[in-house]
Amino acid sequence: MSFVLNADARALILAAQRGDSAAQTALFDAHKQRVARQIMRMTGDASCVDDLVQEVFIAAFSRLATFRGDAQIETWLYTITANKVRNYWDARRRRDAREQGAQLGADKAELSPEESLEAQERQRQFYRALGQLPDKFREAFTARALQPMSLEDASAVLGVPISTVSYRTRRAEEMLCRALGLEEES
Amino acid sequence: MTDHRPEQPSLVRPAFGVDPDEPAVHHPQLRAWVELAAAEPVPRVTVDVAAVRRAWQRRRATDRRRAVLVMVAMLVLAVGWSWGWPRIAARNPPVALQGGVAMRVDADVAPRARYTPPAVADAPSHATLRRSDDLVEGLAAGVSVRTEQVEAVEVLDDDTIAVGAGVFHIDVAAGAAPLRVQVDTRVLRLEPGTEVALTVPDSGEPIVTRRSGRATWERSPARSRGARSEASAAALARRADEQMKAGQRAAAIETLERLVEGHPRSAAARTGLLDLARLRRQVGQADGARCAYAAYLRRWPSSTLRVEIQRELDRLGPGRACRGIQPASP
Repeated sequence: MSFVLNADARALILAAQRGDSAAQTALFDAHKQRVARQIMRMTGDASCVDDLVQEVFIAAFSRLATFRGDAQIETWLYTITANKVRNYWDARRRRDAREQGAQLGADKAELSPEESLEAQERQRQFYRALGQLPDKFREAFTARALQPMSLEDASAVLGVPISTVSYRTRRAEEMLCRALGLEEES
Repeated sequence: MTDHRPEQPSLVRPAFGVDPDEPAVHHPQLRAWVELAAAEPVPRVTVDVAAVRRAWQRRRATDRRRAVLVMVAMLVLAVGWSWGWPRIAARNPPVALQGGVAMRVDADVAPRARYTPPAVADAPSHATLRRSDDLVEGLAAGVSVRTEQVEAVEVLDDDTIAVGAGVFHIDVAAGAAPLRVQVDTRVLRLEPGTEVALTVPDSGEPIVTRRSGRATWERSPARSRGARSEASAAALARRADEQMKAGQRAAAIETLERLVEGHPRSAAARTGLLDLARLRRQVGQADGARCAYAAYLRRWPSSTLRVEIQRELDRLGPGRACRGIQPASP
């Protein structure tokens, strides 16, 4: 993943900051699918993607005036998205507790083959365990394992040193293995 | 994302001891789970920028209205306070606090009551005991187990749990059956009407702080039915995976049966039960498959997979009655 803020991008952001709707549309179109991908990988919940994409861009448009251009727009959007996903996990954990373990995830109306049942069940368990991790560990693990980013790229978007990314990813892996009942590798 | 302080020794680039090419996931089984999640297709974004902009403008208007309301409310409060307080103060004599209770000061009359703080109990307060993070599900009525700083809780049976390192707040109601708590090779028996805090360190002896009732250590492990078998749930799940990969269906079925019967509430049993149903069906054991699916619905009735599982059951059609996960003898 490389982030290049070229002259066109800079001009686009400046125009969007001035409230130019065409520039805002261009920014939205350029980044919506990347944001959707990040949300999907961080939540595993396809049903929430549209809502969260909308939330991310509402926040982005609201704060566009404060974007100084010293970070890449992708990094800036990544941070906004990560914050929205944190809110999502907070709400989902509360809802889980309220519903006493009611299961989450998109219900699929179509008939699935048996293997698909297991895949869905595994994915549901995986994301449930992921949702229980502390935010920082979950974000590091998601960036490294699910997106997937190099240590250096993850360090850039998370705003922490490479060693911290590495440490958080390993800790997240340990916690996930425990939560999923996977034995430690000897 | 705002706290940039590393939890580990702060290493700025170049990061010593960090291999830049290190894999994101080391554990092979977890890697398989991650690959499954990462392969999930990303849906197309259907929301358009016009909708986003409309929502943004609505929110800005709401925020402005809210700000105005807050300012008006503060203004009203300030005016009301400045107007009303002198009158309230004139109507009521000054009060003083003594021992945490507001008392009216009257120069002519000695105070008739004096606040007595409650006696300090030996055990920590109830509120302290209730400060907990997670409620364990799947226990009999009247038994509650709350956990904090917990690594592992396994519900072996309605009235038997196994715990790893962590802190547990356990309450067995007066009318409930006794609860057995397996800690390594020892078993703590909690009688009805008992409330304890159990701290299990990573190494060393567990500590039991009894709030009420009776708690006794037993020497032997939990009774054989439902007790932790020689192989852990994770080990059985892994063995079953390997057997399935090797095409050893009969062996895998046997291992999965041990998994779901020996560790019925473990996370591994949940997927194991589905694996078991699928394998039984593949080898022509329709009754066995139906019993496994039915057991899954009984154990996890609110699963999002219930519709699909019900369809599988419908597809299998009627058959022999079930005893647990096994078909009943004809």
